[in-house]
Amino acid sequence: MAFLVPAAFALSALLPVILAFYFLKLRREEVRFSSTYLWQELVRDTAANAPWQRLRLSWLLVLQLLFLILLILALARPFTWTRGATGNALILVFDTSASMGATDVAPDRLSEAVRQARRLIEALPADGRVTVITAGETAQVLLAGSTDRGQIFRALETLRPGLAGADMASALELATALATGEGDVEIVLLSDGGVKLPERVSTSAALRYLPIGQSAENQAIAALALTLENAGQNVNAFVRVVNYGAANVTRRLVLTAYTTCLPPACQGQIVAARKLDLPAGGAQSLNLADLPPETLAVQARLEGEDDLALDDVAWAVTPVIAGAQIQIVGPGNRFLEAALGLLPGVEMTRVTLEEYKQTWNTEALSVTAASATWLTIFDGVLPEPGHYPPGALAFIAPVRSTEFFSVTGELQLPTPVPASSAEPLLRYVDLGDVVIARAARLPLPAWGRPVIVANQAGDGAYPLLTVGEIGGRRLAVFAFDPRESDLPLRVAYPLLWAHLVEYLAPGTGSVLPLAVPFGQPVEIPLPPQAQALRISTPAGTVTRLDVTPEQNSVLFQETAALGLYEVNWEDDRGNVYLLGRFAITPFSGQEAQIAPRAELPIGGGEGIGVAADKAVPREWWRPLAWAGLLVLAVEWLVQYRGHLALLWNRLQGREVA
Amino acid sequence: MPELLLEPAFLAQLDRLTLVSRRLRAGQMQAERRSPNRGSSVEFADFRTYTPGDDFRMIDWNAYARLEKLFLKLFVAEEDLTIHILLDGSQSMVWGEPQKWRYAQRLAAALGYIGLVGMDRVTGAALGCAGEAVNRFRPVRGKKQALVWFTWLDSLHPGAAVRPEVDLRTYAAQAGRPGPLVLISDLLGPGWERGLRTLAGQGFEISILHLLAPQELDPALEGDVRLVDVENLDGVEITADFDLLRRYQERLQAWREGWSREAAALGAHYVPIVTSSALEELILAYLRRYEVLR
Repeated sequence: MAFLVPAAFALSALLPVILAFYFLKLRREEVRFSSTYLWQELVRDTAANAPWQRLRLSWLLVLQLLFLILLILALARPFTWTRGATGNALILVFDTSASMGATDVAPDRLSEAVRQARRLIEALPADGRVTVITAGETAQVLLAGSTDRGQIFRALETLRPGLAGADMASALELATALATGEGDVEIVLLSDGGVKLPERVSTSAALRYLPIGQSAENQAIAALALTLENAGQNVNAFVRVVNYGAANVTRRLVLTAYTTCLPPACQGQIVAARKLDLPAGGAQSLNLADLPPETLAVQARLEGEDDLALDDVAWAVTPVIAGAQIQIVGPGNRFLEAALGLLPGVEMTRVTLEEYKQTWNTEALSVTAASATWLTIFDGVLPEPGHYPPGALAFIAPVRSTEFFSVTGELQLPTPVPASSAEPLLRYVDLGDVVIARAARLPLPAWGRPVIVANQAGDGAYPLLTVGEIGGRRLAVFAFDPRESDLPLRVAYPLLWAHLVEYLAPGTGSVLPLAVPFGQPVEIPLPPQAQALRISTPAGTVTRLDVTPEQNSVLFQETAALGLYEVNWEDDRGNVYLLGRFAITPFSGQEAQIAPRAELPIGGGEGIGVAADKAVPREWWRPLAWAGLLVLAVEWLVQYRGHLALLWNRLQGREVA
Repeated sequence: MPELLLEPAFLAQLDRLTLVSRRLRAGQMQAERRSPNRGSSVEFADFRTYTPGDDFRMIDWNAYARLEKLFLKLFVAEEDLTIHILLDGSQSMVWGEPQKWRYAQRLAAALGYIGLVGMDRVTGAALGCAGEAVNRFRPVRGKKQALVWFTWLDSLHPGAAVRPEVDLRTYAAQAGRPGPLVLISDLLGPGWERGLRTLAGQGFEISILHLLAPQELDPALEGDVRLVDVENLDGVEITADFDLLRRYQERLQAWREGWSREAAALGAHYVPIVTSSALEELILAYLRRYEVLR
């Protein structure tokens, strides 16, 4: 042990001073008393007038000498040599990715990283600054330039491994930015190496990588998917299990199917269990056919233990046939059906006017099927007045007036031109040289906006295509039958319908994904009639989101829990319809490969590795100062023990005898 | 105007009290106390054969008629009693709040007044007061002498040295007839025991009224102090902590209990008094309970 400030030992001269106080008699305050007759017996051993008295052993003397000795030692700043960080300031970058939850080092890798960080911090000089950065899904500065050891250790206690990867590139960027301007600073990466790294790091600070972890023993469910065959009659599962470890292992795969509802509301039933012999570094894929046809979702689980339990479980959902429902009422229109069939996420049905009327009269239409219909197209036919389903409406070549518009006559060979050059519905739609045989004369209704107008001398600007919104629903009216034009033969025709469907039934075209990466927001397409969304989470909670008619989709961000989600939508009558289900599964190939890397390739292939700890002085003044404080407190208690006893007696309500 | 020793209303209450004497004593003058002597009261005491020289007026002629022998008829004499009141005038008495000396003066005034009202002779002495070592008050009798007694008490100036053993011996030697003796003192210092033994040996009926100030019972001392004795200016250095104050109080208690035992051995009354207690209550209740007064 050596001392940084040996000059502090000069204070040892105070030790004899304290002793002298005990040799010297006190100069006491004089108090006149009636008689000292009774007192003399009590203090017989006090010499009367000598300036010196014999030294008596006193606890106070011992404690005061001990305190001074501890104080001198603390001021002298004793230190021992230890191995530690090289700088005066330390920037600790913690990898908090999922693989840091591996238990190959007890209790887990992140705790081991914290333990190593504590060792480095304790070896810092007393005024050494510590910055803590976490590289999780995003990089975050937990603590910047703190010298308060208590605060630093409390911050380290809060670290937990995440469920996703580590954005080490951003974390290193942050670290190098914080290191700029610091003098003698060292950046220490505490990671298992399974991280995204930047191409290059330019910093003047010393950069060191402390690899955490020992083993690579991990098996993961790398893929799980459900497919429908025979028009949804057969449900098949595809599972792929990968052994990332260096040893051959045997794991048991258990597949649980949920047929009525999702967990935690429902218990699943085990539908398959397979023993898998997984060679080192190898994989096995399974096709499990003939799952119950009513299967909504499955959970695959690997039984047994490995070093990372997180990726031993996965979920998948059965695809739900729930695209945007479009109904065509009419005798049949090959061009229209072909154009709509090209649109993704669209489910199209066609009925004749008679069928439509029949269904309407049974009133089954108005309650269920029609509510789920996003768009109804009346192709050359019209229902009874008022017999319109909810949702958006499109009319093609109406034969008479309706409550939405009036038909006042006929136009012969109208020339179609865009009503506005900036019309979004006509983007990439070329109407040049389109020939229309005839069209209904249809004055622009009050709710309408002309998209295509007839440029015909003498007939005024009658719209050929009108769109607009009335009573909360969107409408489109073709004044002409495209079949009586050459428009369906052009590329413009499907483009025009794509724009129209997007306008009339927003949300079509986007489909709810079946699997979502952890932490990513999910875009949920909205049916036009939707008033609210109800999303049930793996925790069993149901999130209700109110939506407005203007919204095409909702971005759902509460995807922090792994497992199965179900999305339903509500119409204005409170009816609830299933929109879809999706699963959030933790698997990431990078995180599943938990083998720690000895070196990190940063800076154009140049690796940074475990730099040898340099010998640094470890100071001991803190424990000495604490001990001194403790001795001082005890000395105070000894000095005032009489007063404290008196106070205690008074508090107890007892009189002193 | 100097403060009155005793209030007139309080004096009126004292008229009904009498100092207790446990023995019959011969007095000097006819008074109201039963005497061992035969006298001229109406209470018959005894017969005695006549011897020449006796007062023939005392011959019981009826007895002579029946027995033909001369007998004298004797009656109980009622004579006065000499009450001695001794005050400790040492410097330590001039201390405390309320001051012990002033309290002692008022106590002595009340006791003397009770004696004078009871037609007893009252005498006294102050030990350690200016002038001679023992400042004596010559015996007086009768209620009218109360003012003389009060004036003497008021004129005393305490503060000289007291040598209890010598002073009490001197008093015993010079006092005429022994009788009830009341000593009012704080008894601080040595020699009081031996002096009181001398007085008890002379036949005095002693009552020790032991005065202490409240500050002596529970000293308000703290920390390192040097206690200076107000009499001899001797110093004692103490560290007044909880422990020492506790031991002081134990010592004080033992000292008072020692005096109680000593008084019992002398056949004396021992009455511990704190100067914070009201004098009226002390006289009218406390001293009666201790059978000093009746």
